[in-house]
Amino acid sequence: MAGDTMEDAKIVQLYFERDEQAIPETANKYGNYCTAIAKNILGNREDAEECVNHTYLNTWNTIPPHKPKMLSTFLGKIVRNLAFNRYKYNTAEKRGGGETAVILDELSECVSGREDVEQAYEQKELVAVINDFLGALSTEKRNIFVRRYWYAEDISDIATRFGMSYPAISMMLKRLRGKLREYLIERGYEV
Amino acid sequence: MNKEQIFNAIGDIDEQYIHEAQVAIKKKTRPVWVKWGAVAASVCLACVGGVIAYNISQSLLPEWMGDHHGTHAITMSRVAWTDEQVVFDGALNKDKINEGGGEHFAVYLMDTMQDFTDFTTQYGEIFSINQSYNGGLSFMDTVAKAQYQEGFFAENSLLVVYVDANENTKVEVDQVKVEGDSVCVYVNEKDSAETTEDKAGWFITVAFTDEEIATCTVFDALSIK
Repeated sequence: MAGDTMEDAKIVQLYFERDEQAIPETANKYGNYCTAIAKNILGNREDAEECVNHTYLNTWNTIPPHKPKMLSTFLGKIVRNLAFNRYKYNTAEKRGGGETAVILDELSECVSGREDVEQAYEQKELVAVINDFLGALSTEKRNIFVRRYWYAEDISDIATRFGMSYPAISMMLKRLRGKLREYLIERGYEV
Repeated sequence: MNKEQIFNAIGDIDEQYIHEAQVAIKKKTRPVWVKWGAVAASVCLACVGGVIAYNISQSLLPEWMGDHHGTHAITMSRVAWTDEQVVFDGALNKDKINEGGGEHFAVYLMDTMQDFTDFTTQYGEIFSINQSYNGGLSFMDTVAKAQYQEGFFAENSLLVVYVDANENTKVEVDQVKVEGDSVCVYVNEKDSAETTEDKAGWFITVAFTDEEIATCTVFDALSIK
């Protein structure tokens, strides 16, 4: 994925012109990227591909009027959301695999586990706090955190990507979760 | 808040962070000597037991390195004494220090070279890490001689303990304990006839393998004076 700005702009322009070629162009450039994210969360290719196809449809329905600054992350966020919703459905049906169950267990260390039904209006603030937390980390630690908890990547793959050992990545993530928990508590969140 | 809510919130983080993580890739190359040294050490430990392994590893250490507790390499170097609150606020055990009592020394953990760089950037001036005291090596020279560089951090971590003592107090590590999720360094301070009222600072470094402290989240250093 080259991330060429001009090319992204051209693809986005196809959406604005309602040119159906927008979707094959998107699939050609970002199909593997979206599939990887969905497969990390869902653990099987069939469900992942279904989510990716829905992503293209959602994108077609969203652009315009929305004009994404970064097409890759725009697509990534859509497919991640769709995949996670599918994961929750699969889990209720007792199907599926992937890293998500493990990742959710890890994240449960950061929070109390009580569903806060009044959270909806605070979601934006929570995202801002998490962004602040990430902004204070070193680039390396932030990348490792994002690869695990946004991309739902396997720890072994993260270790290979960053040239570190499995225990080192595992340890770093554990400490980062602890720091995130403290960060949330210090900012008044009941975790 | 539950785990699904936080997973969803993470989903909406800054797109720049998502993009940076997508393109991030780092190939750390470990020097061959690090790899083969680790293999040799593990073979020795497997064959001959603790005492001789201690002697073998001791012989691999630079002469200036004062002690070697079990499998932990330890260095000690003088630094500037300070009571600046920012130093203690940045310590992993700041809550215990703030409780008072004077028994706890500030500890800092470096898992990566970046952590070490951030530490020296943040605190280097306060602790005068490049200054030599009484003819000894500065902290940075000590670390350089111990070769705590990129290759070291590939599979190891470094714990730094800041000891505030008096001038000419003999500071030594009594014990390094790793138990469950906790790591504690026990520090002995022995006054001598030369001990004065003037303040002095020390950095003790303790090297751990990542595997040894993989599940540790509590780090502390205690005075056993």
